[in-house]
Amino acid sequence: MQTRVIRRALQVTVLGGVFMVLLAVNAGAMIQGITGTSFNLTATTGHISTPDSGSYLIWGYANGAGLAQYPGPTIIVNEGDQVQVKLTNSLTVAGAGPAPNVSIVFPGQHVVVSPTDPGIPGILANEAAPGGTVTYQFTAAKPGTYTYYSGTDSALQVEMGLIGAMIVRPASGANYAYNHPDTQFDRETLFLLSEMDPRIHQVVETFGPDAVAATGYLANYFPVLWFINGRAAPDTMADNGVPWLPNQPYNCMPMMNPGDRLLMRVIGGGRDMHPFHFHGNHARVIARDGRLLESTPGAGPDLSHELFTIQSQPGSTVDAIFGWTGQGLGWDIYGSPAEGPEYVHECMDMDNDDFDDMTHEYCPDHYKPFPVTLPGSLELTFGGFYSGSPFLGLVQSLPPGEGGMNPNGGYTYMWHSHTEKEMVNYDIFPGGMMTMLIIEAPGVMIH
Amino acid sequence: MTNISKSLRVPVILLAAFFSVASPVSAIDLAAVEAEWTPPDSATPIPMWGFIADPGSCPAGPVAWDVGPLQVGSPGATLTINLRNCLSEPVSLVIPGQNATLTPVVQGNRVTAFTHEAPAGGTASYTWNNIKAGTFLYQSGSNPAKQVHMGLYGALTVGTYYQATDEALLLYSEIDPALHATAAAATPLTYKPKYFLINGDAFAAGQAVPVVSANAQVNKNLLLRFVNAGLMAHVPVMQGPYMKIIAEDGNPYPYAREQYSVLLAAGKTLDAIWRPEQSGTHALYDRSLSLSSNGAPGGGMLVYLNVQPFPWILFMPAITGAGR
Repeated sequence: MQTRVIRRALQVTVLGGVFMVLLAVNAGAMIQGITGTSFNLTATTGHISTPDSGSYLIWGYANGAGLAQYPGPTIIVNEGDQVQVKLTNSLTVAGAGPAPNVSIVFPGQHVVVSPTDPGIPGILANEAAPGGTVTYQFTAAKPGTYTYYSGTDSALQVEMGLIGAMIVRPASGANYAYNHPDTQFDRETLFLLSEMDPRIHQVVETFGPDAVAATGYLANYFPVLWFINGRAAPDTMADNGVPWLPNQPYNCMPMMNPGDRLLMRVIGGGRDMHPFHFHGNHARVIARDGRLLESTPGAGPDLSHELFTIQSQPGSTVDAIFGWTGQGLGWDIYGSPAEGPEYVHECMDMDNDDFDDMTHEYCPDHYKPFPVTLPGSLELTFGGFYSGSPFLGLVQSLPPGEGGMNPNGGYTYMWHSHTEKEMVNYDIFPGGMMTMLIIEAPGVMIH
Repeated sequence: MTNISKSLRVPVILLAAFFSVASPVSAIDLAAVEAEWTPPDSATPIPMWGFIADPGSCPAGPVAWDVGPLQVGSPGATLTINLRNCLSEPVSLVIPGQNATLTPVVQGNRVTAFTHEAPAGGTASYTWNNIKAGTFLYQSGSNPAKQVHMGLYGALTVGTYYQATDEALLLYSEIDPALHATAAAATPLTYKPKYFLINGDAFAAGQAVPVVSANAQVNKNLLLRFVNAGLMAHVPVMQGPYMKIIAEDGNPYPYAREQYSVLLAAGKTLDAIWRPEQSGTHALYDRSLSLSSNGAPGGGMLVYLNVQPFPWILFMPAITGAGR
């Protein structure tokens, strides 16, 4: 019922050109994670679910005594924080061999270990022995998007799931990506991309990690599952923290209103490159590996550039800002009087930027008619996202049982790996490294 | 956006002091020979082909394989490479990114080599005029899908970077032993490398991590020359510090790119400046996780960059390593 009220209110707002109250960014538009300066992570085992009914053993970082997560908790800190991460190794394994040591590396950070909890030396980082701990300390010196993962036998432990994201928010504020006005955003979404070769997980689950070497799978890697934030589509679009995915708490559901600036934080979490492709518009890449693309310090992202596919590299991060208004479609997304008198609306551009000051409608296309004559409903096959109307924010009648996934009449754009074989769940299309962007009409609350 | 005067400034930290031009190199004599490489987990050597400094005649048996001699020249010089072919099939030599007049070998309708070849048991000579500064890969131009992964490759470095007091070469490659046992029958279609090498060495779990660049110093610019002679992309990541990537394929960037990771595609070269802030060992590893050795985790493409403490005796080029 609430949805209906909002929709009705929206129609009045848009079609009547009534002045609207701008909605402030709410907390739900920000990436979920754990905050503070002192964190307790536990490496432990769990099982993830895939939409093809698969269930696979993972080794994941848990928040304290919580469940293993794939990926681990997104660590969200502020620029300048003295960060401490205590890692406890609670891994248990099958087979005769011991549980492995485990560690965390934070690329881009100058990490030291606590003198009182140094762990034991490893090749890339100090490690926690089975049942033991190690405490890492670093100053979150510069804002940006970062990743963390196991630096112990990374070829195996990253594959097993010991990966995560870290966000350092700048002094300028939580709705800035970096300390420059051009990095301000209205909403943000994490895209931690990874893949899995289930054979390795099955060998570890049945025989233990020591049995992996003899299989040769690490040198004959063949992933068949692909994930965004630890979920394969369509699970990417379920809510955060749904109870049926206890080890995969993070969704990937980018949503925005026209005119919003959506910050994409893209992380290569696995071992393969993924060309992450977004429909709807280009995005402006402003940073890589947590460093602004700027010519001189303080210049802002003056070396930024637009892409419609971000080539995500393993271990690397990319920040990009995506916008959408309908500019370039060549027709009025709110309809024209040619479609009926109820579509009468204004395009008010007081600041002469070509866009309506409230709805961000592209005024040069104002009242340009929809260029398609829609067939009758008996001649159509419907998808769950079709609202019954081509116009933004409108929901019109559909045959019984159709629609339903788009209650506010938004526009949907598929965002996915452009390595098309990665849009499957173990050979079943569609799925894998895929989600949908929802453009909600102005005034629709996004949560 | 960017204006031109800005784009001419490479904002890497410039070290104002020492550099010198290496003496012009006019001719290099190489031989393509049968070789062998012993993997870290087995006593049985893997047959390889390699470029070595020409011993004057063909070796009696396989030599120990290495990634080929490092060539240092001066920009603008004329480089001549004389190649002796001790293999049983024709071999040639190309340097992507350096200008040469190529005369492809055509058999029927098919190009079998990018340029003229040294026949089995014979010799050939290759010349590049006005050679360009930077980091390059040289490799066989004959049936490269087979001869390159057999080991006929190496790095060519031309000139010096005045921002760097020292440099380290990091040549990445892979070996799939299955394609080496019977080279004549090998097909790259089944290429699945088991060994992942940096500078011709593969690291395996339980061994000491290979150390590179013992001359690197705190607060001195170190040039890292990344070269990928393998068939796969790798992503070298430096654990902790950032690098400033200044050139790709021998072409300088208008602006340095500050990253801790480097996408090193097959056949690619990248030059990066790293200014260490701390002495000791710094791990550089492949984040595309070629971190296994014959399937066993805990090895692969991993080296330590060793950094000396700040030298308090300054202005002594012999100690600082300047002038390389």
